[in-house]
Amino acid sequence: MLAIVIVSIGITNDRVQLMNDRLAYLIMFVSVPILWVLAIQITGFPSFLLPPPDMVGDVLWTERELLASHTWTTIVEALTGYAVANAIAIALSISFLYLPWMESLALPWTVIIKNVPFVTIASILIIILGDTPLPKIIIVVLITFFPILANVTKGLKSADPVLLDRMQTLDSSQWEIFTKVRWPSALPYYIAAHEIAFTGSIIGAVVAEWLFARKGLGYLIVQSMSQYRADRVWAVTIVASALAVGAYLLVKVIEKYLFRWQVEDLS
Amino acid sequence: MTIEFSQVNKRFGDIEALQEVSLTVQDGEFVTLIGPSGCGKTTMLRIAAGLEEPSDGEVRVNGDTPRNACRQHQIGVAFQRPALLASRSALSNVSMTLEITGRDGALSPDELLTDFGLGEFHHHYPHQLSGGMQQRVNIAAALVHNPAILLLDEPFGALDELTREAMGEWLGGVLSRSAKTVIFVTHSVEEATILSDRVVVLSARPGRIAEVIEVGLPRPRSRASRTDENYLREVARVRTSLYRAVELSN
Repeated sequence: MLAIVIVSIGITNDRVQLMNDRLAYLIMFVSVPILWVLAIQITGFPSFLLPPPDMVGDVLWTERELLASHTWTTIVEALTGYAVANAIAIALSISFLYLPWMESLALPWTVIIKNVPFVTIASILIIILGDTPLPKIIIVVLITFFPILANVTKGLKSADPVLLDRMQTLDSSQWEIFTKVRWPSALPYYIAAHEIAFTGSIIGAVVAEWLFARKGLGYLIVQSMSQYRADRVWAVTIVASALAVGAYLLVKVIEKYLFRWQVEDLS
Repeated sequence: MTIEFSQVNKRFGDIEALQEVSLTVQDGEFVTLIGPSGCGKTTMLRIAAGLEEPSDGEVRVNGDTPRNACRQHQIGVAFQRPALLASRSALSNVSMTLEITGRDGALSPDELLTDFGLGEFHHHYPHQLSGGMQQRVNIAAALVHNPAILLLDEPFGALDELTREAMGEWLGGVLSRSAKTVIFVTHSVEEATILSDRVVVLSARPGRIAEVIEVGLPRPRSRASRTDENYLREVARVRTSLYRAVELSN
């Protein structure tokens, strides 16, 4: 109904779509506490099992320093792992483009990395490397590396052959072809990979900490569970979710900026 | 600059695309290649552009190889599908040529687009332009470094009849102000006749030169020329030659 009203006063379809998207987010954010309270009312669970929103809000405020400190550890591990995953995946994608034999050589490795359950690898790494940031960073790399590799490889190969012919007739260098044609062609694929992988880096870091750590949001979950602190587990869940959603929204903002030319119409 | 095909053969695996093609395109001449689908017109153009190597024979551009002519930025190529980057504006797409070739002796991208009737569309992206406008940007990008040779592979092939006719007139006007050597590939007999000094009719695969027709029409040629008796006679001559080439191939 709102959309119909907006169209009738002359706002473009794109604007209507944007307002509808924002409205959907607003509805979700308002619905969560309502559903939460309803669930408590219907199930009758006591607050130490299913704490009400105000109790969790209280934990978020009173234990903010503890939460911030552990959140920072998780962010550092996630971002470090993600940066390493990006560097390796992009370097490999470029090598696949110019040295096709590299792709054949790397294929079995990438299949293994993608399909071996990372929880078992995490356990092995923790046994070998102990309570250091390294196993967590490696887990983040293993989880996020493949979508970036697959998408960038596909994107670099998707360059328009007509454009490549044009570049060849202009006697362009390989660097010019890469920067002016191949990389711009790969960019939408690369950004699409971030939508999956950047959020995955936060989840990966939390899960790795959950297995074994003395710091980070994953560790805080384990500690809170052992102390029957359901209110803190909920608080950590909210913080971790906010981080993952924040990562996703950041990617969407960057995507919107980079591809702003796509939505500009003749008007 | 001249382009000389000497006894050129081209095979793609078992498929023979071109057979003993010999042709000299003179300096400043506009030559059109016409023939049935798959007769090797585009292959000839790609060989002249240094994008393909002949299997036998050779192609020389002013006595040098096409690759060397490309290195000296003497060749501009426009394909049927515009070679434009979606993320660059019309002006930026044209300027990209100069980012590679340098600006020595080049035309101004700004002035060129304005001259091509795109004065208000410099900052529009390809998806915001019509097919005809995109093709004009494409040709501007092929022309902006001021190459002596222009190779055009069915640049108006995807356009509707009226736009195509208008674009043909526009191209004729643009090229009449320069002295470029042009090889133009088309399926349209009318387009070939109105634009060319000579029309080269190729037979069906393997492509061989069936006939070379001198177009006896004075320049400049305009829309009015299309209703002229001489023009209609020349069109009939090219069409008859094309039919003969197809029949001989069958």
